Amino acid sequence: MTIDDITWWSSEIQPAIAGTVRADRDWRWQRIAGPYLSGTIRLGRQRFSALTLGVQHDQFVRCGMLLMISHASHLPDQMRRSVYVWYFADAPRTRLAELLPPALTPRPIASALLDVALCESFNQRWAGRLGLYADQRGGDELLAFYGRSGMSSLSPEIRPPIRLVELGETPNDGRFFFHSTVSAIAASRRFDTMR
Amino acid sequence: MPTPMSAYVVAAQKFGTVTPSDEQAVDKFFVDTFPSLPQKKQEQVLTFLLAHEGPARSVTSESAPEAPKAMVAFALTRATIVKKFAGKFFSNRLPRSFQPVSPPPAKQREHQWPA
Repeated sequence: MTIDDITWWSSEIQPAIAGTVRADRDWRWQRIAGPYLSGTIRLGRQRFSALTLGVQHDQFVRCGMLLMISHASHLPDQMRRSVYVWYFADAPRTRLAELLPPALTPRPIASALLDVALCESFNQRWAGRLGLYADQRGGDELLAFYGRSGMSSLSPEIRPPIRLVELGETPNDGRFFFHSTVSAIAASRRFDTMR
Repeated sequence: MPTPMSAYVVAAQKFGTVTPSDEQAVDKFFVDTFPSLPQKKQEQVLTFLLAHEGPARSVTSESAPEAPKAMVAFALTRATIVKKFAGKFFSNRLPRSFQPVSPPPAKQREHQWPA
């Protein structure tokens, strides 16, 4: 991801999201991904990667944005490492229809973004382990999406890793999701034909 | 929710003395200023932001102290490991900067992870 990607997304895509009830309606990618564009920022062993998915047409049309943390603790088994998806967003289909012909409009974008994170997990030798938090503003629809993606909800009695949430407050409301190796392999197979 | 945008505003104010009502200045802090901060300060900012990942709660400049109680719990766990396996296979995984810490007051320990 570059600052051009962020600027373009902010002017061309984010306004279309702002008018919806989506969880990312107020996100500002300058803040979310701006610090990590150099690729050198780390917190302990954790590294931050910001990526863009897009299609080249008359211009480079960005379709998805992703910020993930490699070398994170695996949510249900924190002695193991995983990739943690901190933020990701896909461009609204209605907006893409204004920018791309139907044949060039990628689909499904959100699942493809998760697949990118899964690939990173396999490349890091984390065996597909992946975690994320389903924004409360995404409601049950977002939970259903992660369920369809093959992810499992972190049992409420399991606390998320330190550094991820403060202690002393309720740190797990059942909206943390994770991929195990088995579910990650199954999910990534959906995209094997496109690789 | 994933760390809310309000946490970024508080972080920019706390670590960069940015005027919180100036959205552009907050953006500029993270794009331009943050990458040039000393690593220790970068880590403080990131720790603050990551502490607000997960269930929504109020965001204040005091809501994620620079040395979270959780870190104390983690250090204690490591200290236990070192004691039990001194000279064995765990000790070589500890960073050189690691220093055992004194136990916190009993009231804090009620919320430690792991239980």
